[in-house]
Amino acid sequence: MITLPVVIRDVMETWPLQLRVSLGSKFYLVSLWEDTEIRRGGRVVTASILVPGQRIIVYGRVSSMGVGGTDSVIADVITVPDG
Amino acid sequence: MRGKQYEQKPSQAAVAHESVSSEQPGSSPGRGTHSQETEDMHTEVSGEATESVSATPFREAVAESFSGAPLQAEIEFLVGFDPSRAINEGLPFAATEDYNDLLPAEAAEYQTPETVCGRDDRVRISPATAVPWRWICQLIITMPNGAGFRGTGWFIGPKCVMTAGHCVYSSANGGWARKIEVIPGMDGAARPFGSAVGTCFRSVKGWTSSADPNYDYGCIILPAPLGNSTGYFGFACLSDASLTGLLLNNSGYPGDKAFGTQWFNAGRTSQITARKIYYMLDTYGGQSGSPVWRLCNGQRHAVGIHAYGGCPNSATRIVQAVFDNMLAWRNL
Repeated sequence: MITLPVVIRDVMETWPLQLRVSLGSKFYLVSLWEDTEIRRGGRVVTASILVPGQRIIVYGRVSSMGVGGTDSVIADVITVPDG
Repeated sequence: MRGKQYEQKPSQAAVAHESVSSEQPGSSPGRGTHSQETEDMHTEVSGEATESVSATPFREAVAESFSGAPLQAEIEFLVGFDPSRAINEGLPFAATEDYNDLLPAEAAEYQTPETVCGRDDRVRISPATAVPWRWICQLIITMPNGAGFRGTGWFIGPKCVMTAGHCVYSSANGGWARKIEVIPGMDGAARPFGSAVGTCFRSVKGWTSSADPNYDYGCIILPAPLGNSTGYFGFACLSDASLTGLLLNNSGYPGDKAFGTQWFNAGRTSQITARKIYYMLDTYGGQSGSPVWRLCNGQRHAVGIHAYGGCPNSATRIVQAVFDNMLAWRNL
């Protein structure tokens, strides 16, 4: 399991979504699955609230060593901090 | 032999498809290496990750569309779609009566998809059997780890379906897709052209090796020429000047609507960069890979591959290197 406080850089519009996020100078590819849960303010919301520039916390599993120095994560839960 | 190229006169590029189809797949830049188990199925084109900026004058290039058989009437404007909004979208902001329609911010929260920019004026395409809608396909993607995704693709040749790179290759989900079912003109439960399952894909190292959004494009090579029934899009490599303020069309299969329904929107470009086209057209997850095209003198030319949301939403721009790869893939 991995916990990543990251910033969304790109939202890839498959359904479910895939994200390109950054933590400092390191980039990660984050894949949502059908059962990935998005939470905001204690409520479960849809993934459509995810936008570039947003700070989120990803709780998930490292999928495999990604490409070009980019690690890959499958998200179980994504929380969007209030404010 | 290169594709027919035209400088600053795309409207005069009325070449027959045959002149394009004489292009040889092997004329593309050198092939890259890839995993052994997929060596006969998938190929990255190495030139797209390492190309340098050319010092030669920019030349626009066009490959024409093919309407398929039998021919059907084209749809220019759709009932329920307000073209005036599309024409004004992307232009400098001006106050309009639309203010009267705005919801309080707190009421809109969680209701409006974030990549639907402003008022949602998407229009459903039903049936989707006419040109160009039948060129556009629902994609049902199965990744190597079993994860399922939905996306959108579009025919550019008898067997070739263009889409986003992240629809055919997802490092988070094991790399190259295991299979992708392609359903052209899908409209709810209707599959007017049947479907085909692709297991052979193409992309470029800029995406598969570097995950660079500037190189996020690829294609599905089908085992049968389903595109001969549907027809297929033309595509064009246009200059910054030609793309600036250009009225764009987009249609795809968004995940917030009933499964298998195709939805259209239009608007102007809002920003052009070396490898991307930005716009405020309404899109949603599931529309990755959908075509972004211009309609000019009755000809439809894709100029980008929609891939990213966020208002502005964006497409991978069909620049010369992308155009060349598409020409090669079209004939596989």
